[in-house]
Amino acid sequence: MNRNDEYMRLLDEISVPGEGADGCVERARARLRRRRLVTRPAVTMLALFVCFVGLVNFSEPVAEACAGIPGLRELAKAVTFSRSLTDAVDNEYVQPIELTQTDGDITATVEYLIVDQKQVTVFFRLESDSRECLAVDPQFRNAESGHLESCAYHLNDYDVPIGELQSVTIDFVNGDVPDSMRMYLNVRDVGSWFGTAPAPAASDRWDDGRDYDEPVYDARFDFLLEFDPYFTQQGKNIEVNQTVTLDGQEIIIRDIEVYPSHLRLNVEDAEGNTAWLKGLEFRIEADGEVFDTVKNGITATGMSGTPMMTSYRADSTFFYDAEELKIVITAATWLDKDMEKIHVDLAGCTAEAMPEGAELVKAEREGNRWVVAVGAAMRNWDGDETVHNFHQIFLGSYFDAEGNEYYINSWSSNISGSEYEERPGFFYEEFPLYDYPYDEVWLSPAYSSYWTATEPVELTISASKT
Amino acid sequence: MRATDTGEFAARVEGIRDKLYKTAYMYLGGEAAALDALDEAVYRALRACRKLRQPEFFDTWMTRIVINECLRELKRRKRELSLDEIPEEAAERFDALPLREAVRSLPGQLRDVVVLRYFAGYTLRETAEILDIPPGTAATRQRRALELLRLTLEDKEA
Repeated sequence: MNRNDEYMRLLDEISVPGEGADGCVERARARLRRRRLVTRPAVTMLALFVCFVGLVNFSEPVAEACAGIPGLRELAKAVTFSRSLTDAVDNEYVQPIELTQTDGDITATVEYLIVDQKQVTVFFRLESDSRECLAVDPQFRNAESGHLESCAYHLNDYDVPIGELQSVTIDFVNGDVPDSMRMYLNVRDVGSWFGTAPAPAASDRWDDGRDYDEPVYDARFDFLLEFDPYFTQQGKNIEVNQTVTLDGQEIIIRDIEVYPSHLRLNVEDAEGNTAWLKGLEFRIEADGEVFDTVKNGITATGMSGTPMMTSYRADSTFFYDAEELKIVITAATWLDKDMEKIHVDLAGCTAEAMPEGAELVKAEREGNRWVVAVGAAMRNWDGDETVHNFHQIFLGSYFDAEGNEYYINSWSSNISGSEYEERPGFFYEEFPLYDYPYDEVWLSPAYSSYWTATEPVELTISASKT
Repeated sequence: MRATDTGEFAARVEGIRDKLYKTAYMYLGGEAAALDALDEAVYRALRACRKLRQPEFFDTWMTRIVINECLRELKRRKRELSLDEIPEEAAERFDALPLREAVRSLPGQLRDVVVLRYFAGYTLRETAEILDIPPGTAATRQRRALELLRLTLEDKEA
C-alpha cells in the first residue's frame, strides 16, 4: 500500500465520528445547567450589583450618596506593583464582582478580579469600626471537590490600612485557572503594624516550627469566586525553539506564553551542559516598549527532578500589538552540576566550595543544634549603603553523611548583626541545623556563579500565535 | 451570538462537527481522546459564545478552541518536535511511520496545516484564518508537510 492509498484508508477510518460525537452539545448544556445550579446565589448577587450600578448611573440622588464608591482609579492605584496588571486596568481588562460578608465586627468585600488562563488577582477590602490593624491569611480550595487548589499565592501588600483595597495573586504554575474556586479569608487583629511585641530572647531566636500553633482568627470568610470564561481563556503560546549560548552553556528557549497578567519564557537544558540555569536576567522588546522581568511574586519556576529553573516571568506584552518580540538576555545565574551539594566541616568551619562571592563565617554548636553563618556580596550593589540586596545563598535542604535529608525552618539575614564585621555591599545569613549531632553536613547551594554578558544575547521572533 | 441562542449554537456546531472531530482525531490519534477533546471544547465554547462578537467567524473560532484543547492535551503528554529539530533524514523517518503517526510526529506548525487541509477538509484560506497566518505561509507549510509525508495529493486550490 503506497502513501496515497494509506491516506484514503485513513480518511475512511475517521470519516464517521464515533457515536459519542452526536451528543456533544447536549452534554455541554447539561454540564452548564449543573454548574448554574451550584452558582445561582452568586449570580443573583452579581445581578443585584449590576442593578445597583444602574441606579448609581441613572439616579442623581443615589449617585450623590455613593460618590465614595471606589472605582477604577482606586483599582489603578492598587496595581502599581505590576506593570502587567496596570496595563490590564488601563485596558479595562477587569471582571467586576461584588461579594460582601460580615463576621462579627469585620466586613470583607471582594470587588474585582483580574483573571486569565494562568493567574487570578483578587481585589478585596476589610473594614471594621473597632479594629486598627487586620492581617489576613488566605486559602484557596477547589469549588467542587473542596480540596486545596494546586496553586501558589501571595499577598501583594502586607500592611494595608483598614478600608483600603488590597489584593492576593493566585498563580497556577502548571494547571489552568478553574471555572470557579473558593477563597477563604482568615482574619486576625494584629493590634498595630508598628506594634510593640517584645523581641524574642536571644536564646529563643530560632523557631524550629515544631511549636507552631494555629493562629486565633477574629473572623473567617468563605467566598465563591466565579470566573468569566472569556477571561480564563486569555493567553497564547509563541513557539521559539532556538538555542542560545550563555557563558558556554547551551540553553534551548522553547516558547513564550503570553497572558494578560504576565509572560513566561520557557527554557530547557541542552545535553553536555556543566551547570544548571538558576536565574536569567532578560527583557522583552516589543512595539517600541521594553518589558522587564517580574520583580514581585513568582519570578521563576522549576520542575521536579531537576534543579534548573525552567520558566521565567516577565511583564506581559499582551496588550501591545507587536508583530515581533525581541528577547534580550543580559545575565544568568548558574549552579555547577557538581555543586548541587557541598561538604561542610562544621567542627573545622570549612567548606569544600562556596557560591561565588560567599564565605562561611561561623559554625557553632549550641546545645543540640549547630548555628551556621554565611556572608555574601550583594548583587548589583551600586555603593548605596542604604540599599540592602539580600539573596538566597543556600536552599532549605541539607544532608548527613548517609544522605538523610533535613530542612532549615528559619533564617536570619542582616548586614552586620552583633558579631560580624560590617562590610559595604556585604550581608550575612544565619540558620540553625536542629537536632544535628554530626560534625559535618552537606548543604545545597542556591547557585554557584553569576555571568553577565559583555554583549547581550538577542533573539527576534514572530509574535504570531501558534 | 446571544447567550440565549443555544439552538443556533447547536446548529452551528452540528454543521462542522465532523471537521472538528477529524481535527481532534488527527491531533490526538484516537477516537476516545478526540471525543473527550470535542466535549471539552464544545463546553468551553458554549460558556463563551456570548463573547463572540462576529458570529460569521464561528467556524474559525470553534476550530481554534478544539485545536487549543488538543494542544493542551498534547502538552500534558509530552513536548513536541520543533521546526528547527527536523533532521536531514526526516523524510525517511516519517516514511517509516504509519501515516497517522507520521502526521502526529510532524512539527506543530506543519501538522496544524496538514490536519486542517487534508483531514478536516478546510480550504487553504480557512486554514490560514484558523491558524492566524498568511495564506502564503499556510501554502509553504502545506508543501513542506506533504514532502515529509511523501504524499502527492492534488491541490485544487493551487
